[in-house]
Amino acid sequence: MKICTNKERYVLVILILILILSIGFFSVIGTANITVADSFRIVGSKIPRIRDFVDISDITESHQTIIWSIRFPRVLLGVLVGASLSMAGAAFQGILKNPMADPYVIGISSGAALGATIAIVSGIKSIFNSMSSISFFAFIGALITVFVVYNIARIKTKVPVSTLLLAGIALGQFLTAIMSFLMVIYSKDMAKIIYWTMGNLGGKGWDPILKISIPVIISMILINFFARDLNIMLMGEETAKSLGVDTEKTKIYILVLGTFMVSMVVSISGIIGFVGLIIPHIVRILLGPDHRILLPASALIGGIFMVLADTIARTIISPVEIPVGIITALFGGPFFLYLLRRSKR
Amino acid sequence: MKKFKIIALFLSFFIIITTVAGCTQKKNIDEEVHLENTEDISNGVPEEHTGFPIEVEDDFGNVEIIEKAPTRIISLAPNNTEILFALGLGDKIVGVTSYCNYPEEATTKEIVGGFGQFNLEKIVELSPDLVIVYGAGNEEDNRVLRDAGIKILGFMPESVKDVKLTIEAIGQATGTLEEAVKIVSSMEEKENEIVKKVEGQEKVRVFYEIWGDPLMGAGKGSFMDELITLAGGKNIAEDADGAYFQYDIEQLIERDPDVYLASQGMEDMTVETIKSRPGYDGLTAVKNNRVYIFEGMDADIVSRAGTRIIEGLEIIAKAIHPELFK
Repeated sequence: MKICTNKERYVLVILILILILSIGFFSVIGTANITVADSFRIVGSKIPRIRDFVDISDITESHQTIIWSIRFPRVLLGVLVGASLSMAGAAFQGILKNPMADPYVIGISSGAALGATIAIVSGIKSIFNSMSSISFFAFIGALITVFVVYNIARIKTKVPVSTLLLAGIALGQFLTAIMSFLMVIYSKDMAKIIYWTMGNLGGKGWDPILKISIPVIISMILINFFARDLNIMLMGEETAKSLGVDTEKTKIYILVLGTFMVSMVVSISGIIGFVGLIIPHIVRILLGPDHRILLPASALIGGIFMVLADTIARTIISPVEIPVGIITALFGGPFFLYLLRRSKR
Repeated sequence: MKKFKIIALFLSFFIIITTVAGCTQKKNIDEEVHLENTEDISNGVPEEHTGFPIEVEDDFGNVEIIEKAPTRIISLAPNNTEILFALGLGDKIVGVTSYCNYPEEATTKEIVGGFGQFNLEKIVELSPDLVIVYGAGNEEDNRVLRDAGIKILGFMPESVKDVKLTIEAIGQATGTLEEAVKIVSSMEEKENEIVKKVEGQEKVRVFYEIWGDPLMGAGKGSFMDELITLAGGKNIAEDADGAYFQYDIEQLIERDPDVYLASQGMEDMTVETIKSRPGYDGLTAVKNNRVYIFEGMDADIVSRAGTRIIEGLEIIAKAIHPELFK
C-alpha cells in the first residue's frame, strides 16, 4: 500500500508482538483461582490443530467457562474497543487539526448515551433477538447525532472544521442536557445510566465480538488508506488541495468510517473516555506525527492499553468491579502528563 | 507564591476530607438514641408517649417537639408512605413522591417531587405540619421548611430492625404508637415463623442481581443481603462492601450460586435470557432451574424499607427453600 521505511515496519511488528503477548498475559490474570498453565491449556484446547495435543479433562467445567466464555472474549473485546477508539481519535485529530479532538467530539458519546438512557428508562423491548435494546438505541443515537451535526456544519459541499467542532459540542451539550433531565425524572435508573456511561467490557461473551469485529476491522483498514492524505493535510487544507488531495472527500470518508466503527464499539462497551484522546498523543510523542505509523500504532497501543486498564478494573478490588472508564483516566492521565512534560523539555 | 499554592491546595483537601468524614459519623450516634427510644416503648408506657406535645428524635439527632397530632403529613419516600398508610394515616397524607406506588391510594395524592429532588414551594403551599424524609434530607431545604414552621423527621432504616424502629418512631410522632406496636409485633411474629422454618436447613448459596448490564449485585448493607441471610441463604456477594456494586462475573461463576435472584430490569428480561447469558450455562442455579425474577411490585417489596419488608422475606424464603413453603 505504501512504502514504509524499515524502522517503521520494525516498530509495527514489535507492537503486534506485544499485543499478542498481552492478550495471552492478561487472559491468564484474573480473580478466579485458575493457574496460568490451566488457562493456556483451556485456550489451546479451542484452537484447531493444537486441540489434539491438549487434554483438559482434569480442569473443572466452571474454570473452563470462566476462561473461554468470560475472560478471553472480554480481553479480545477490550483490544477491539481500545484499538478503534484510539485510531478514530488519531484520524479525527488529523482531519480536524485539533489536539483536543477525540472520537466523541462530534457527538457520538452524547448521542449514544441519550439512546442508551432512553432504552434504560423506557425498559423497551429489543426488536432483535441478538442485540440488546440498550446497544441498539445507543448505536442509532450515535449515528443520528453525527448525521445531524454534519448537516448543520455543512455549507454546500464544504464542511469547515471549526463549524463542525462547534456544532458537535453544542449538540452534544444539548443531548447531554436531555439525558440529565431524563436522569432526574427517572432518578431510580440514575445509577444504571451512570454505570453505562462509564463503560464496561464484562459479561458480553462471544456474541458481540463476532458481530462487530469484521465491520470494525474493515473500517480500520480503510482508514489506514488515508494516512498519506492526512499527512499532506497537516500542511494546511489549501496546500493539500494544490497538491491534489480532495480534502472534503477525505474528511467525509474518515468521518463516516470513524463514526461507524466508534458507534459500534460504544454501543457494546458504553462510553469509555480518555483512550481516544490520549493514546494518539502518546503515540505522537513516542513515534512522531506520520499518520502511516500513527494510525496503526495508535490502534495497537490503544488495544494494549485498554486490556491493561480492564484487567485492573476487574481485579483490583474483587469481587467488586470498577467501571473501566474510570481506570483509563485514572492511570492514563498521569502517564500522559509525564510524557507531555518530558517532551516539552 | 508556589508554596502558598501548595498550602492552599492542602487546606482545601483537608476541608473536603473533614466534611466527608463528618458526614459519615452521624448515623452511629443516632442509632444509640434510637435504641433508647424503643426501650421506652417496650417498657410499655404508651399513654405518656401518645399524649401531645411530644418530643420525637429522628435518625439524625434532630429533636422535634410536636404539639398535637399532625393532620397534614407529607411523605418524601415510598417506604415512609407505606408506613403512614399502614398506620391508618392515609387521609392525613397531603403529599407524596412520584415513586410512592403502594398502596394504590398513594397514587391519588399530590406529587411533590421525585427521588431526592422536591418542589419546596409546593410543599410549603400544601401547609403540612409534618414532613417525613428519607435520610437526613437536604440541609438547606430543611432550613426553609423549618422556617416555615414545618416539623421534619428523617429516617434511614438500613436493616429489618431499623424498619421496626422507624415504624415506631413515626407512630410516636403521629399519635398512632399503639397501631405501630401492633404492626411491629405482627411483623415479628411472621419473621420468627419464617426464621424458625428455615432453621437447621442447609445454607443455600444465593446471588441477587440488581441489574444485568453491567452485572450489579447486592452486598452487605442491602436489604436483600439481610433477607437472604434471614431466609436461610448465604449471599455469595456478602464480602463486597457497599449495598450495590458492579460484580465480577468470574467470581459469580467460581462461587456458583444455588439460587439466582434478579430484579426485573428491562422488559425483555426473562428467566430464559438470564440463562442464555455467556458463561451462565454452567451455574448450578441455571442447571437446576432455580433462577427467579422479581417483577415490579415484588422487587419493591424486597428492597423497600417499609411495612412489607417481612413479605419480602417470605418471597425470598420461598425462592430459597421452596420445599418448606408448600
